[in-house]
Amino acid sequence: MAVCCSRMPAARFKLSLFLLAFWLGVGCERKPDQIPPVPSPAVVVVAKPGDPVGLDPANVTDLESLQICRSLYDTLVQYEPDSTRIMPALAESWERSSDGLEVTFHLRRGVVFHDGTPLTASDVKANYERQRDPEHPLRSAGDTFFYWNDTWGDRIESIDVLDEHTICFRFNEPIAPLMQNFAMPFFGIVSPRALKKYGSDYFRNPVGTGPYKFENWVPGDRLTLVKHQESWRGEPAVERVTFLSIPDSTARALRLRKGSVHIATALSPQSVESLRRQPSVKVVEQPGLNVAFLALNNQSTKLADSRVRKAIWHAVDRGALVRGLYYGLADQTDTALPTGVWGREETGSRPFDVAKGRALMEEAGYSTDRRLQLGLWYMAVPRSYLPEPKATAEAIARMLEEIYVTVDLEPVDWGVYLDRVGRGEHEMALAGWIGDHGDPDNYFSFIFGSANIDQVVGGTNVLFYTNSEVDRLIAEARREIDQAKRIESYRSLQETIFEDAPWLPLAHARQVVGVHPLLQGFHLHPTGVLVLDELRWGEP
Amino acid sequence: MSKRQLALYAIRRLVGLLPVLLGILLLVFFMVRAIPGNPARNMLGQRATAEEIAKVEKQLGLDQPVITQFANFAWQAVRGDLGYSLRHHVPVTEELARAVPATLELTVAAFLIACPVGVLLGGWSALKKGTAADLLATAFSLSGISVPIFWLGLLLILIFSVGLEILPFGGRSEMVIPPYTGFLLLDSLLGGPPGSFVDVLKHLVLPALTLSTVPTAIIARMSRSCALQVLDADFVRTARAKGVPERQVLMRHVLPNAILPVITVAGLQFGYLLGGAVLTEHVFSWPGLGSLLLRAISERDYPVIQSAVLVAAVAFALVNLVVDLLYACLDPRVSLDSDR
Repeated sequence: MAVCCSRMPAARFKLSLFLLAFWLGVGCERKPDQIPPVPSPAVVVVAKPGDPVGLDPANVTDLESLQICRSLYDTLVQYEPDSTRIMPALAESWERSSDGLEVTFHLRRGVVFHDGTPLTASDVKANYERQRDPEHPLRSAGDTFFYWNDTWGDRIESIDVLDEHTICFRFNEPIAPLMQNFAMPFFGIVSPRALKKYGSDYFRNPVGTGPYKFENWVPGDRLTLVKHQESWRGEPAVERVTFLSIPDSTARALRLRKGSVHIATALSPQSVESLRRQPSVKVVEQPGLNVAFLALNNQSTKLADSRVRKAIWHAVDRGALVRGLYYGLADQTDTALPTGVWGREETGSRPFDVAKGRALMEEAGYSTDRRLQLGLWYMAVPRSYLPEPKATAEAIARMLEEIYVTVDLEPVDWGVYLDRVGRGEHEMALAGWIGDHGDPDNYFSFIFGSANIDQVVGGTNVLFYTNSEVDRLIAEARREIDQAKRIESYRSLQETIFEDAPWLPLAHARQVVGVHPLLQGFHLHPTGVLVLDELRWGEP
Repeated sequence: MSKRQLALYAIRRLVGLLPVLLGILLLVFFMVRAIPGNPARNMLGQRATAEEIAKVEKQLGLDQPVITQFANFAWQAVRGDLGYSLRHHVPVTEELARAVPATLELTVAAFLIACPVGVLLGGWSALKKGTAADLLATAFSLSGISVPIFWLGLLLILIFSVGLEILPFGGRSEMVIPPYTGFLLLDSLLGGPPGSFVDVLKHLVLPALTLSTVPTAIIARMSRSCALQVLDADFVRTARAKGVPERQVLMRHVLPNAILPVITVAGLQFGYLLGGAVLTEHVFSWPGLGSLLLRAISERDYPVIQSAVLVAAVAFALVNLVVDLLYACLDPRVSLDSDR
């Protein structure tokens, strides 16, 4: 005992030291942070969850790459910083023929690539021909051009250079979302000379006309851009932008709070509430271009009766799902078009009403003694439009219990999820769609068009919904170039779909980015891309 | 033991390693193919057509019989060609050449903490058996094994990076250092900007400390039990009875005898750590093998997954071999002939 007691003070001392360190580290967390000082010189550090796949815009589809490509490249026309409306970019003006089959772009003069060479109409042609022509000399091994087929396919008839600053595109059919297509990041203009010089290594030696140019890339760690002094947008106020790869979302949030990073993307929804309380962080929210839904397989005999599908609408408390499982960072919806996309119209509403749902099921012949048994699939990993797939599926299953539906929950590996759901092996499945550019056609044709049903390879119409009237309206709106008429077609389309209830739309998840409170000019685009052109540091 | 005997023993073990490596190749190959999903489909996305999928399957050799695929894979692996990353379109060897030195640097740093601290803690605990010090050391060891690594990592970041602001949050360095060897400590000395060595060292402290907790605890517990066994042995009692000074008893009689099993355990721990300290690397944004593996799994980048697992498994087998050789060198009782 004596020995023990004689040693206790030392042990106590060490324990006290540990507790002191713990208090210093954790205790001080309870106080709100101070606003971190503005770094000098003018640099901005962006924390992202991962590395880009590459920096050739034609060959990437991941957000990490596209977010960086937005600062390196320009497209012929661009989206407004906060919406999908179109504004001039490399083309300062354009004319579209009355039949919608031709568009002529007048390029801005004095635009130079990061390597100092001027941009001409021939450079623009080379960029589009490279993706269009399988034998083009600027193609390299590994080129995939994921979006070419979906966007243009073989609808471009010719591309003609009229003079050094004028280029004309001719199509063999009218394309309604034409200008949105030209603004897609996959059609950013890269330097043909750099493509020729670097070949298949171009993806890590990018040369564009964007406001920032490439400086270096340490894979898995950081990628740095420096300002393009001759940018046609004007010289950026920020000298250097560094993108850090920080996979852990807590680490990203902590670094943002301490000011060692100034923009943090992909914050976990759970952390947003506490970040809002910190004066050291400004939380920027933007409605995304996504929609999460419960895909009801309309080919299943169990779901053929529209009363059953409508009963499911009434039984699911979508408001509770948004509050509890999206942490409030989503907008409940009754249509496919996200908030802010033109043409969106809530043509009807089926409120959460269990009694009504039960009555509809009783009309359809179900009761306590004769329950409907349905399988519900959910993906095993969170998606940007569905942060908690498992909990969402469990909640929906419990809600459906109230209307005589017994749900068999089945988690499905993401690697085969889209394949199996696309082939229609499910009865009900959690699903989502992320729009490419905010044109309504991009939602309606992929989600509801019967042309996108494919039971062999798997299609994007995972509802297996076929309605000739819907197909007709989709085709009509796609051919029409008068926006007012298109809006009218989409209104009818939304009415028809609402009446048929082939699905249960759940919510549009919002995107959240944390920003240093003194950083100005930052925009989070609905496509999830970071717009850094006008970044500047404000006064403390 | 003669040098010749040792060389023969090493050769025999190396030859014995060949079937193990073949087994690893087989396991890795079929394990990756057991993952549900079509790599070509995953690569091309939801809107790919059947023709596009078939084209990529042909490019990847997935249209060939499994035996042919395995033969190609094994032959290419032997030649050091591990294929291309499906997602990043660069040779897998290039990705491994970046990740392996990062993991090795972190593992060695963690090991340099774990071995001395573990042995001293275990020895001290054995010497003070039954006292408060022993209890404290045992409690420390148990916590080391039980505490979740990601929690500890975040706690250390909270204390030292957020609270005290004396160590960086993560990453390998704030500076851009030319990658001569991939080992940033060495590269910073070879051609890094001024102050880069200290910067790299500071970045290494928290991840190494976090990664070292489990091996420290295991080595401490092993050292304690071995030391207790040896302290009770007849030859130690005899030495003390003969009046040999305590320090000499500990250094010349107890330590050499107690350390042998500890070497085996330490070697195994080193092998485990080399396999990719996934959680530590994730929390500290450390671009090593664990991070690479995690990223490859989430992206279903099959060539990277199989290569990362292969490298980790081969490293583990080699570390085991080194431990056995070390054991044979240090313990004269080990009969090299008995290993047949």
